[in-house]
Amino acid sequence: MSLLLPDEAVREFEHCNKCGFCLPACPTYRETGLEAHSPRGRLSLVEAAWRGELEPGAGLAEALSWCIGCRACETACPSGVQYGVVLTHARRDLRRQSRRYVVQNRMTVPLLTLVTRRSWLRAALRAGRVMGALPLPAGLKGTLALVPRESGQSLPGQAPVPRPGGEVPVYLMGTCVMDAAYPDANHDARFLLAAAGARVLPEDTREGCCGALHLHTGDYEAAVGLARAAVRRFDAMLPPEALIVTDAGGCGAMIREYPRLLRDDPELSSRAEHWASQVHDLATALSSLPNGLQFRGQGATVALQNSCHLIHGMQEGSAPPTLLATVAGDRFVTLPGQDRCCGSGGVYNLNQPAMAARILEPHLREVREHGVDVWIMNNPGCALQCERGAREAGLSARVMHLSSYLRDRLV
Amino acid sequence: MAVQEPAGSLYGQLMRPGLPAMVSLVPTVLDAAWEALSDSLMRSLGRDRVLRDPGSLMAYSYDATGERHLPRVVVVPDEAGEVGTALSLAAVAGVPVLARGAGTNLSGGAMPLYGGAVLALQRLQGPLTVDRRHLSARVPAGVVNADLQERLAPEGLFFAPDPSSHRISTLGGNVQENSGGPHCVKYGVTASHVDALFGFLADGTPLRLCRPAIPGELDLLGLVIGSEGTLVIGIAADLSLRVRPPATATALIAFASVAAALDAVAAIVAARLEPSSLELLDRVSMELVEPFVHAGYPTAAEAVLLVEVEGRVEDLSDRLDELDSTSAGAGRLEFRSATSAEAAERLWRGRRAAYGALARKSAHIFVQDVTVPRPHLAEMMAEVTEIGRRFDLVIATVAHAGDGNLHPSIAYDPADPDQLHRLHAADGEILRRAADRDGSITGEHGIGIDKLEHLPLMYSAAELAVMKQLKRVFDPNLRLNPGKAIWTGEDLDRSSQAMRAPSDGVRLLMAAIAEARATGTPLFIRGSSIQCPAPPGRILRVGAMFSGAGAISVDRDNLTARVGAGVTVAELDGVLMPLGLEWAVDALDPEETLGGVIAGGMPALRDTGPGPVRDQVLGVEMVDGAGRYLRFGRPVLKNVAGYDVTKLLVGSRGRLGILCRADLRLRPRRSLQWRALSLPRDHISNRAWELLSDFARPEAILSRPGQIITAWATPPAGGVGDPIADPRAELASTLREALGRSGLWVRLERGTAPKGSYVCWWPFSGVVLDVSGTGSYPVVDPLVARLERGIVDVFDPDRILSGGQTHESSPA
Repeated sequence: MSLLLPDEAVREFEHCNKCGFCLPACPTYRETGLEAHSPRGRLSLVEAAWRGELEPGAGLAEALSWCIGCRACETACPSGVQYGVVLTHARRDLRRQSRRYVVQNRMTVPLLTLVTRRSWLRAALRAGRVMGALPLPAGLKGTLALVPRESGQSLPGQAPVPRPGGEVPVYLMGTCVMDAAYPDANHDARFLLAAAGARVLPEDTREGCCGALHLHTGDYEAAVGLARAAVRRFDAMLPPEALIVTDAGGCGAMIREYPRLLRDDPELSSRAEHWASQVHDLATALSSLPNGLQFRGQGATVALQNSCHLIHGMQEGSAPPTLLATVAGDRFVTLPGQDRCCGSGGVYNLNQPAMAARILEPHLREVREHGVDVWIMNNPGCALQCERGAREAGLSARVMHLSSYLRDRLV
Repeated sequence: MAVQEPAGSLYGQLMRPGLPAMVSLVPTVLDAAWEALSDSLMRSLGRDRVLRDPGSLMAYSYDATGERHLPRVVVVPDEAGEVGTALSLAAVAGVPVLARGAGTNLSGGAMPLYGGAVLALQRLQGPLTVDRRHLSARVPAGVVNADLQERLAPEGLFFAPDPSSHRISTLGGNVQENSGGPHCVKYGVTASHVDALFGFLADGTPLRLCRPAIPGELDLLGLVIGSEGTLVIGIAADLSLRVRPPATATALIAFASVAAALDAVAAIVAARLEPSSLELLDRVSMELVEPFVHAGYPTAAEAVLLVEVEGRVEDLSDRLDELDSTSAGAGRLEFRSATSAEAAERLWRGRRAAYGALARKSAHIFVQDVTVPRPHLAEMMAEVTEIGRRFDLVIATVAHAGDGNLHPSIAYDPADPDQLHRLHAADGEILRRAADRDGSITGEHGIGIDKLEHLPLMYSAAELAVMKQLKRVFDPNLRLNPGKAIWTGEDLDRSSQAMRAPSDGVRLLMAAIAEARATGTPLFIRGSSIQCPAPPGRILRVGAMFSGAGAISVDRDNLTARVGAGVTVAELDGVLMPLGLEWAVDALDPEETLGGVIAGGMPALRDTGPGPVRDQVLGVEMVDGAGRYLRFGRPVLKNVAGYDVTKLLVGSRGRLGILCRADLRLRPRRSLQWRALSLPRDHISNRAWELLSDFARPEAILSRPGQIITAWATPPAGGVGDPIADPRAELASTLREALGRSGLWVRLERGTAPKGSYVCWWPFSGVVLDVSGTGSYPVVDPLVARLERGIVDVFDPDRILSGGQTHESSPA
């Protein structure tokens, strides 16, 4: 049986000229040197399966399950091929054909349910911290190592201080994993936005999951459902001119995908387009709000692990390093791997732990070699992955979310 | 031998009318043999090195040409030894083998056309060693060009060839394709930057090929570079590096017509501005690019030039001013310059986006790659536009204008058979027009399978037969990358080379050869040289045959000359001097004929600036020992059509054939200042390498015991020694005397200081003329000697040339 794909996916791989410019951008190709684990290879496998030249199960399922979905290949592509669209639909159809084609950790499925309810996820993380201390089978133990330590890196909670003249209504999307794993970082982000002159809108405690993780794993229908719910919720809760700010690159990029996911929804397609155009990353928002912020460093060496979807999905990847470079008194270093994937990939590090660790390895080496004291994150998945990696490698670098770091250095 | 159809019947293949004729030579391999081979590969290399699942086979079925042919098995070696093992096993099984790097080939060269085994060499990554001091690096085949540059940058070095695919293409591929790139206009193509190649023959025998240094050694390395993986599988190469320029600046110059732009190109070259790149975009390209990158190209322009110049920081603004005044003239619309890296990047962005912008417009792109002598570029571009109109195709053209290499890119849709038909017709038409202008049907992308059927546009049946015979010397069973690069099918009798009827002189030579073969009398070829002792046999004086003022034809704008082999160096220089040009080879004896200089292949005095003799000869016409009249090469700098047989002739000492004419590469004349620096013997090596490690490298550097002799176009301030008059005559007499005392030419590893008592040392090429004979030097590798014998057999099967001497039997 061949792969069934919608025109929007077929159009993309038909535009692939196989020039190979995507290869150096691809983390799994760099790691394996194998063509089947490159974007060009995966596109050609999907095309062959769609044309009926290749059985979908033969190699294709493995090739797609190894893909992190970082979308760095899209930025590298001279022809503008949207690889992510092909990946999404191919995974969706593989999943439809057989569950065997979906390589998943046993924790992934419950996690995808947990993320849809904030209180569930928070409780699960608490449980995970406790269980992490228990003697458990190695596989499970490895998964639990991703659970972050009790946070406490940020300053004690303070209510955001709206300043006079804050006229831009800004809604900071808490996002599920940030909210459960790094609540302080969200709080710090709101504080910074207010300081920069935004009218920070109240937190929506019933905000759901954006659906990014579901889309990554091929659960297209669930992702569309969550997108619909999110758009309805924005409409209900936010004034139309509100900016939506995310401090999680993966979630921001997902909202930018809503117009495509909801294109055929007569009720919501135009609403999705509206909100997609209103969403920005924290760093972009801070640099465009009226009050310029001043930061004073503490002589630390600082490096960034830039979120892939922030770079390649939202195309706002240059704002965070620019902002970090303004912190006088700290030394911001551009690591060679700053804009390269860390191996997190949403739930990729659960499903493909070995490859995820191999991809993280050079990043850890660079952090060590450059004597980094503070390693900045702007996506929760990356933070979980890097925090665990740094801990296990015994690095002295402290992993901090961008917002917590900036608030700490705020003059 | 049974016939095997090209493997796979996958969607989207283009028409290749010439292919069926090639198929007959590819052996059929039974399924059982494949099973046995896969098993033995897995046993020897480990299961994870051998890929057989349908997905992996699909992933190695294509290159950047876009068609697909499935291999039977893919081997992904991690280290060099595994390549040899895989080749030995494949040889036992008798299967076709294709080695590939990143698969960015644009002519189909990296597609497994006949199935077979694919060796994917991307994982050959280490060890990469850089010798900063001696400007050299040993680089494994899988290293990506851009990664090498990244590694070299902190050392202040770079590797000159930078094809547009440099961000992903591997050095293994660059060497096998003789890659070009925008910087070729100043630094030359890959072949000029490779000192040695490590690899395997088809049967797995390890092989090391070096840049020829000893007179009489055949340039096997020059033949293998650009052979598209059909002769040797390379696993590593010693590359020659350059010192990074202290600063660069870029100018964008807009013109009202393509002709005006190309007039400016000629002026820039003639004014000796030596741009490090000189690129042209036509209006169609600009219109495609502008909406995507907003490079800000002037909308009224029909063509823009992008020119990069290099130099010392303080000289750059002068260089830009010179560029400004030189390019000013009728039809220039605008001159914009950028000295900061960011501003330059904005100007270059449009050029880099040209390919992608077209790709967004259409599902697939057919990228053409032809070279013409530069004065023909304007006409050629006009004809491409006309051909596009005639066949109703969108053709955008960018050109490496400095070296006459243009890339008309044609958008097409594989699902539209009518359009495919028109594409094919337009393609053939463009190639024919380039060949008619004495250009090449491929400048840097290779013949692959795309241009196989068009080889007769450039070569006669005899010339194609020579290439096939040369392949058999290296790969007797035609198993390496079969069906690519050269014609291995039945001998062709269709030839479009009617205009190349042999001249009277050539006929005379052919008759002399025929007679010699009939009577078994060896011929000894002579120009005017008196260096060689007279051997037994008949002496054929060709010096008088292809000589006189009528035998010199200079193409001033193209910076080339076609010169008869009997012309002396002094005569040629007499013609070139008033034109402000020179052939950058310093012969030891000005009365020597060009035939003698080229066939002699002695180390040139000026080796470090312009490069050795082999880089100064673009093509040869000859009659070989089998009596065939042959021509290889063209008066263009970039030409990768078929094997580079010209390289074999340089330094062959008349063993392969009798040179009649040569296409020479010229350059604007420069006056040199010779300097001599006396030093204690043990300081010589250090000082020589210091001088070579400057951005403004001396034009020549050689040393004798106690002295370094340099030649400078512009000597750096202080410390290079005392001016001396032109030392040519003095050196010539010293060398002649040394040769009379049984001097030995010896090749050293780069960086090795000469030992014993030597007369001259060329540090850059590692050649020493040693008269002591006491040093212990490596003898000629028996494998290389065997290959050399095989090559001589191709050209001179009866051994009637050079008095029957061969390299091994000639006196030391």
